[in-house]
Amino acid sequence: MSETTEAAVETHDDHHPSDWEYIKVAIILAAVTAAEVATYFESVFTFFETRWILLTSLFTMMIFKGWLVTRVFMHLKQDKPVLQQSFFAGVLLATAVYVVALLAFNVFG
Amino acid sequence: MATATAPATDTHHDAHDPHATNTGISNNKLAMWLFLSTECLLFGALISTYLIYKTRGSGEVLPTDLFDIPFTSVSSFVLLMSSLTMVLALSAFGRNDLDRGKAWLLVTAMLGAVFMGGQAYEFTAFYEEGLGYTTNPAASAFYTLTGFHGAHVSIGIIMLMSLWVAANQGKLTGKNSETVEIVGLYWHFVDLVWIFIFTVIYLIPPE
Amino acid sequence: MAIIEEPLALTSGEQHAERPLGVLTRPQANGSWKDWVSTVDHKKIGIMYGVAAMFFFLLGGLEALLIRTQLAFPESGFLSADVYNQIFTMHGVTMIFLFVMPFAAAFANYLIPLQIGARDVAFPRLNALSFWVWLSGAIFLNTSWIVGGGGADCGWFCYSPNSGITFSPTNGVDFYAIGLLITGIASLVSAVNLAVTCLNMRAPGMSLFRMPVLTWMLLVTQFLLAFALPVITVALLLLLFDRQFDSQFFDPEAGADPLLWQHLFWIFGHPEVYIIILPSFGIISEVIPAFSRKPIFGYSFMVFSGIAIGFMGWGVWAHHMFVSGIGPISVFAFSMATMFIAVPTGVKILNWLATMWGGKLNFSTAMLFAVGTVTMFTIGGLSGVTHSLAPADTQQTDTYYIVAHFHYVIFGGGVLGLFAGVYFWWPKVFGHLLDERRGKIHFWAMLIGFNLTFGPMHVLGLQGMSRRINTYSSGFGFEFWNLVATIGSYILGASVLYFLWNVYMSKKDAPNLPAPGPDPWDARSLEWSIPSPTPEHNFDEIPVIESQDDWWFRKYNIEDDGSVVRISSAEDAAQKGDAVGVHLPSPSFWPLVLAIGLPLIGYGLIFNLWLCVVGGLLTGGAIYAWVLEPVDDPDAGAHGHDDHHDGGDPDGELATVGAAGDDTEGEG
Repeated sequence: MSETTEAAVETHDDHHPSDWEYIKVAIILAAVTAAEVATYFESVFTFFETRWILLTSLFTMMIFKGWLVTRVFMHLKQDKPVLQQSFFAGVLLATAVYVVALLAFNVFG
Repeated sequence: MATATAPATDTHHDAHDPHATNTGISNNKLAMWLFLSTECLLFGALISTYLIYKTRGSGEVLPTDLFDIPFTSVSSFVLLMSSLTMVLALSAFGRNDLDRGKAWLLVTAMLGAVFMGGQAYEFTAFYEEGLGYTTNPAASAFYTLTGFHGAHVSIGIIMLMSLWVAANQGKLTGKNSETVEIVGLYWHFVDLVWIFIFTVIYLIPPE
Repeated sequence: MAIIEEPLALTSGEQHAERPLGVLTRPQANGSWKDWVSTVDHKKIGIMYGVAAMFFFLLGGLEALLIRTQLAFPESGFLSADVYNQIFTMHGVTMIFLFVMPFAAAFANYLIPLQIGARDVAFPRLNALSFWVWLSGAIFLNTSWIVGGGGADCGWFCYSPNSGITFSPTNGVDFYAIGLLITGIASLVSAVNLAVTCLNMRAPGMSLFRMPVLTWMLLVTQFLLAFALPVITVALLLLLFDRQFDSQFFDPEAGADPLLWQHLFWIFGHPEVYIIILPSFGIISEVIPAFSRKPIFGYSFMVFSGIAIGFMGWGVWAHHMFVSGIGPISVFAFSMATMFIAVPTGVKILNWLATMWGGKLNFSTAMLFAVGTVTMFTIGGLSGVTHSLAPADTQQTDTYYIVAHFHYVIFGGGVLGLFAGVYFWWPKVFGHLLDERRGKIHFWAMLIGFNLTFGPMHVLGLQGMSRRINTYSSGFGFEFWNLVATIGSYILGASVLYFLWNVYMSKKDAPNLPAPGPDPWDARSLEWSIPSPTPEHNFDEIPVIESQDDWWFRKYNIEDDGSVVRISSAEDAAQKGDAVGVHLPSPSFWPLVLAIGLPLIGYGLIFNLWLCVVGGLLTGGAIYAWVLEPVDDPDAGAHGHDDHHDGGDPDGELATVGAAGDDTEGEG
């Protein structure tokens, strides 16, 4: 890891996306949020009454939103991989540990 | 194992480059990212606590009974858009466009404040419906989780306003736009946590 | 916490020789107390950690002796049950949070920058903050004896609902919760700081896989701390809210689940075990090669097994809870994980043995302590594996067998290793050796006392003697071994006092003895390439690293036929420590001021909310004062900023604005 990152020290790529790209991403985020909220209106979108469809769609949309925010707004797309690695180490560790803990409490039924 | 090799790569540090670190990332930014990754464990514990307790009310009112999804959707949307304005502020500072940068900082802080206003309204409404902090484990867990998130947003607002003041005093310019970026990372993370909370706590209905 | 400071310029001294900078006007070792309270020097901070931790070691040891005195004879009335509960709780809390962790932090602070070839840590002022916040939390925790109506009485694990107001009506548990929150902030700040230091501040050529094993183990420890502390932070806050604001997290009558605390506590608690043990593993991985005259056997295995322990440490927490009714699937899964975690630990033990195999062994005091660590930890590790078998664990839970096991791990594996480090690095830190003859007496007394104290507890536990009970009846066969354990504990206590005597006498004798020179042990890592004691600026010139054990290869050459030839004496190869004008960060009082605010907030939460306001203002004010204070003292050198900022941008002050809030956030 260090060898590659050290080699990359010289290449300074601080070039961030343009404002318009940020706005496009925000529009996508807003649209996905709207879709998320739509699941609340089960009477309109009746297929969300099926629980596994609801959960799958909600989690997919949530992860997609989080992915966009970290990649674009937090610049993980351009930044050094070590940042992504250390952050996702925390995310994955937290997910694994707490899912196991919740399983022990039978939270998932 | 111990054969002497040539110096690894061309890593002669230029002392005049603040980015001359082994990873090529400034200490400040790396520290913020590490801090944010530890925050995942903090919020994870609070969210898990709520998930374990969300149905534990012994006959009393539960937070899930009171959720006002359309209202929370609006405040979630506000926080989401504050991430956009934050990144626009950074972009402006990066171009050394200070006026626009300051304006976006202010807008971001204000959107954050609107979100906090929404939380204050939500807490008040819930309280009036009979859900106090000490009513039951579900209530305690809900208020603690969202309150913690709110505290993070508030600290973010303080940091944004401090940046705004510094920019007005001429201490914050395009040269140190990384400061804006680092505060931005914090702000986006707080937004990220809310994306998670909004889905897991609010949108997933009780079975 | 992400207070933003500039990276230290990794420049050579010569480059700045024509432009003496601020540091030279700084008070340097003139003995003034201001030197110490305002220092941002990682070495002074390390020493302060060590001294303060040693004080709490004596305090925790005193508590241990009280426990053993009470248990020397059956049906003793020396301590009441209530006082006994407080004493054993505070003994555990003190030894873990106020002795072993900060003592390891002393090594981390002092040695990480030296071993990677840096002038200081990444954030020197934050480093000072970590120490002062830790100390303020430690003092706060112990003031509960005076103003809190006694110490916490719920055990260091503080299970609910025993920790609730109903069963623990004094303020002891509040002091426990707030005190550990404060020390937790310190450890978290320190963890991020030192992790960034390891990742970012290495000398040219010092790739990650050329770092000494000690630095590697400390890096893994920092990551464990960074990820584990938020979990206990949440648990402690929930406990505090329950006690102070009547929330319902741990009240079973309201429908709360007492197991929530147990899970949160042990999700933190098991990584904590490795936080305690890994620094010691790192230390003996430096000591054993030096005194075996061989490189460490299987460097990459050592590193990767350390990382593996770090990861797997997260998957075994519920083996502390086998009897709490977590269900057969959980028990099975955590049993398996617990068995597997013995593998990387075994790899380490094998590698230490292989390092010694065929080496020219020199049993100095440091080496004796290191070998003692390996053997005692092996005993503790083996009794640990017996707990992975859930049926056996069910028999052993809450007996003295457990007490024996974790003392063999924490004292045998952790503390003995730390003492190995004390004897090994003492000359580097203080410029004179600790007397070897007295050191060896210290070692044998400690080893014998330790084994006499904790060895019999295996027997007592298997006989069924319960832990945490203030007395026992005669006639169960507990008398003999309890008396042996008590005698052992007094020998152990005496050995610690004898160590302090050795420190005092060695200091007194030092002027009459030859100076140890830069490299008294003919060792392998970078800290031995600079004078003893370490100069203020560490390195005259930042070394360019060409291999693992770079310093050793500056003294020796391996010929084509494999023979080792000395090419330079340590004195010739070492730096002289005479560089002038090296740029160092300026001292600051604000870390101390900020740290004083936190316990005030704590007292406020317990006694009077107005104190919170005072503490909050002090802390908040200190944060802003800190932010506005330039990293480099402008009075100390006119060109401070230009030194490493093209155009001298004032970002040192400004950059900190943003991070200011993070500190307040740590207070929860």
